[in-house]
Amino acid sequence: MIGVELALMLRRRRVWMCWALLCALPALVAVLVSATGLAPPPGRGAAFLSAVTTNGQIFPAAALALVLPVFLPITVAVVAGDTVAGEASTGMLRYLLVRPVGRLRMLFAKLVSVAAFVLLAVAFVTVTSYVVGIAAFGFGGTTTSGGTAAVTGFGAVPSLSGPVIEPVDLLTRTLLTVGYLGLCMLTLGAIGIFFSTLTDSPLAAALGVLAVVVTSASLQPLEAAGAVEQFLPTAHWLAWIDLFRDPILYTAVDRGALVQLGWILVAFGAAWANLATKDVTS
Amino acid sequence: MVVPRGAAARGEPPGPGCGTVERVPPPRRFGRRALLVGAGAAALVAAGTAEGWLPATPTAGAAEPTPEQLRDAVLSGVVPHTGLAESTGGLGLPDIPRLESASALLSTTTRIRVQVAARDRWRIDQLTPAGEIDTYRLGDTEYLWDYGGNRLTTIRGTAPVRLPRASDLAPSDLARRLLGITATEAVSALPPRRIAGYAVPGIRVVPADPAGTVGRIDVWALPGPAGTPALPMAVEIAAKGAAGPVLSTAFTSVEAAPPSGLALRPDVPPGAESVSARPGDLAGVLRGLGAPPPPDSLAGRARVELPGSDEGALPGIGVYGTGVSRFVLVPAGRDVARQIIGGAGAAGGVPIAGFAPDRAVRVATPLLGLVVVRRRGGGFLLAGTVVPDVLEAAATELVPGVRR
Repeated sequence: MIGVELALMLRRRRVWMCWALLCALPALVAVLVSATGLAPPPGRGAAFLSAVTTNGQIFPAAALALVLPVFLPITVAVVAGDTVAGEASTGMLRYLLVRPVGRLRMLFAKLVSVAAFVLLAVAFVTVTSYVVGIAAFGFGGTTTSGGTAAVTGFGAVPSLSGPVIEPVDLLTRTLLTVGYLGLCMLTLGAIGIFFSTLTDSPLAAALGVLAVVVTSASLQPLEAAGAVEQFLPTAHWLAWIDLFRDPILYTAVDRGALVQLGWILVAFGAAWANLATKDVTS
Repeated sequence: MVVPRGAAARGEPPGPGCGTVERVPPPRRFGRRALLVGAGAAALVAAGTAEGWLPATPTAGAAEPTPEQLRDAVLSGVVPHTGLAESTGGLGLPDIPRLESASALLSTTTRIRVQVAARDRWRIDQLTPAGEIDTYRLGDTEYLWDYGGNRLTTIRGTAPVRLPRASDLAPSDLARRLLGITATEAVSALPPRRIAGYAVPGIRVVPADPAGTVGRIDVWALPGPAGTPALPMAVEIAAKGAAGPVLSTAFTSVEAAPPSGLALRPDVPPGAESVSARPGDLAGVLRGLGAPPPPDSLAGRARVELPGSDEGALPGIGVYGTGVSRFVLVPAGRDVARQIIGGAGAAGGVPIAGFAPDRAVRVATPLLGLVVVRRRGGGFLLAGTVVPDVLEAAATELVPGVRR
């Protein structure tokens, strides 16, 4: 069942279109910044973007920060909203359930499929933006303090705290970032699957996910919502930036991962509770 | 779903004319699965908020100190520690040209990473989603790493008066400063509070000065074994008459262990700039150059002797008052003073009696008062934790010919 769902996902043109668009946005930004030399001033714009002109190897982090707030959630909403509602809208769901496949197993396969989509999306953005970053901005610069001239070199980038992150360390941190952001987006995926069990319209399910994102992001800065702020799905999205500090600060990442896991459990459980007793008519 | 009704539903053979079925919506009810998911969600929320509702229990092995003992323990030394703190300021300061970062620090939420090995060996980082600004202290030298500026600044010596920065809001440092300057005030006990997983006893200082704006200072500190320093974990400052704190800072996680030595050594990455600078000059920031020496007293309050002030390190700057009821006089350039006066209207600024409206303004927040005056040859700024009347009286004394 899982293999079937993965194959189905990989055969869909819209999935590849989503990945292509996700990779294209950072590439466009890289081209514009490289051509004009106008990076945002420090403290403004997406995280890391002000530093990419001095070292193209940091561009994957800037690219992830660029796609994280809007584009990544939209693509996850589209794909997750289609999981069950898409089958229902084409009249395939009841035939799918006629096969000797439990509803829970089918839902789990859908979740794995969405997880594969989000992980591949984050990985594709990371890899393509690394290549684009190197091509547009090159490797690091040289010291200007009058000391020995030194180039950051292949695979090494300065951390937010100053010390250089060596290649193996950078790879580890990047993998952790991909995993963490994959988990954050899987939360939206699980919510999308839940909405997808509530309706026969993939569009409605996707809009439901986006409504959750917008609501969460709106409540986040609100002082009156301070009591629930830590439980909002978007509250910990930027915690991955702590992975690029020195020493690494795991506190926010750990907490964020726990919150995302909680959301995934609850949303997937709600989807299961709804679909297991649902009257499937289409 | 196709639901048989009538005889078919009861399992009886259909009678004549009963061969039709009808579609009806299924009954909607909360099933066991939904209840299970709801209970699971509630359990997860309960686990996530356990820090807030679990009863505070006394620290194992530590005797309950009296408030005076706890204050002495805080002032007796520095406990090596590493942790993450969050400070929240609600001072509502207006945008002051050249002082935006200081205003923001006291009016927003700031994430602070603290790594302290000793009183003169520490590192405190201001963490932002776009980077970080790290302050290192090694002996008598300070280093400032600014990721956004891609620059490491080496500063030799310290300025006795400077703009506030994130390292000042670390709970341990702020608590020691405040308890140090209020050491003669009475102190009382507060109920223990759960902070970063520890049940921490607290103390309260209520400054006695009627002209001060600070209503209370609450400090929670984790006592160590007898005779060792206590580690301040949280600080709250409230204005007089206010129910809630105007400025608060607390650790969200902390470990009473020294940081790695490597973490306390600043590093200049390739491509970054490395510069040296003198300790920050407050008057220079406001372009108040060439100012006369500050008077020995203002508004009936004596000037505080500051280290380095005799050698001209603080041109025109004076600090007046005692305890936490103090104010500072800083010379400002005419243009800077004009900018502040012009922008103060939006922040609730009001004219000062005896001055033309475009010459002086007063902005009063619950905790911090601010008076800016523009005059021939330059202006000045008075700011402090005293009632506005004191600042206005000081301004009147500084400008000859003005009567209130």
